[in-house]
Amino acid sequence: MQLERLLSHWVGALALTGLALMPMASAHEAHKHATGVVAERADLMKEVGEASKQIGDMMKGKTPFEPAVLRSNGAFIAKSGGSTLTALFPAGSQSSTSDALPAIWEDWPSFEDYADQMSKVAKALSATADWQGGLSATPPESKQVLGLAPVAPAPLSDAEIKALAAGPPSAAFEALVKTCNACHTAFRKPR
Amino acid sequence: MRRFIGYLILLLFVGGIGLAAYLFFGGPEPRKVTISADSGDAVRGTYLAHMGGCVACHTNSKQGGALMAGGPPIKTPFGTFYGPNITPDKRTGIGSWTLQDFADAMTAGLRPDGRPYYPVFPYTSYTLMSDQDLADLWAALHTVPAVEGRAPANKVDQLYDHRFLLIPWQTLFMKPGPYKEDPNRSEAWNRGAFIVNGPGHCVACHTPRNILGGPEEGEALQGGSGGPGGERVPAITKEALTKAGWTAGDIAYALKTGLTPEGDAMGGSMGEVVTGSTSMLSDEDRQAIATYLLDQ
Repeated sequence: MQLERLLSHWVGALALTGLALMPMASAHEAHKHATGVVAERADLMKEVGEASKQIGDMMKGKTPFEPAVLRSNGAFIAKSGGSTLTALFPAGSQSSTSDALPAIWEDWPSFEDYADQMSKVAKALSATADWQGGLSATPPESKQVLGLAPVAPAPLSDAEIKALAAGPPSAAFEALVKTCNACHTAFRKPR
Repeated sequence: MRRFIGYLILLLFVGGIGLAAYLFFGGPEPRKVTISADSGDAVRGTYLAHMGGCVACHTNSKQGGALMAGGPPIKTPFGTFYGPNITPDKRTGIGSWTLQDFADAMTAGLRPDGRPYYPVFPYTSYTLMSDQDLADLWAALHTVPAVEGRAPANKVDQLYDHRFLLIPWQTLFMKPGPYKEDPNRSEAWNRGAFIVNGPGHCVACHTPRNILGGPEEGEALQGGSGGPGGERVPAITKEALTKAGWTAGDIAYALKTGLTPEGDAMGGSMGEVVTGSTSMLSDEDRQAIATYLLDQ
């Protein structure tokens, strides 16, 4: 009967929606129960976030600019990227307490590229602590794509990273955060 | 079980009201554009295309699809949809359309044959654009190489797979544009309101939808699970943002880079929005969005 079919349809749809939402609701809190390598990488990421928050607050003018903080936090993030980071994602370390997406292991080279770029750009950021131009200096305008090219977060070349190291802290930090954001978009569960 | 019967009755009831409203008022009236197709500025249109996030739904970047030649699957509670080819290809794209056809699509959700689009295409927001905006966007789309090919057919849930239902839907939920400035508000506030509710279509995910897929009355920007694939979407009302400690500077910076005030990089669907849209806006426009969000 038509009505029955519709009803069962609704029941099914709502049940499925409920099921689909369950892991979503828990993903955010997942880290609380993490152990081993999952907890280790979650802790490292938390520290990187705290270091980024301090720099971000300085860039936004919420707190006074302190070159020493920029230098040490940049160095810490640089040290946390690259192989330090990727070593914490061994094959098979997916779990319900982890925010890592399977895409990490399906596309390992891209994941490594992001971790590597995190390290390099953070190192460049650290070097901008000696920038003399003042915080108010306008960073070079990021490339506006004319025409409508899809904007994949392209990996930065070594020359571009070198230019970031010689420029204002604001531009280097923006490049760093964009790297974090692109990696999280590709490889972390939505929060 | 009573709940589901309730939903069904609601559906029939609201559908009935919609149909009655349609029979009484008629369907959405497409806006007649008053400027010529060649008066568009492609550079300005490109900026609007970034603001509107056209690429995200009309280009299957992950599969290496050609620019604007058809998008990846968009999973919604109403089915799975594919953004069509909007390159200037004459047969499978929009190459044989007129600017008026484009305006009908953008401002009234109507195809050139007069049939309605599913509102997964956010024409309820795009309708706030001016005629000049539409002409600019039209010019920008014509800088894209024509590519032949169609996106896969939509897989609409059987309960909603009736395009004719969309006409009463539009009568119920569509508020036609263009955007009207509020003279009692600042220029920045008005610009922000235009972006958030218009081309930026923040409301498409951040305003919860009712059982019929229309915006929940009185719950603007209150968040929910309206993101792609049912992703959780945070509330971005003045109250929610203030409570979570977001300043105008935090909002503008997050839209530029993806950094939250806690020092996290967003990722998720908003990470994509930042990369593909808001990071390419001007600082003034990001500030305008913040101004509006913190003073709704």
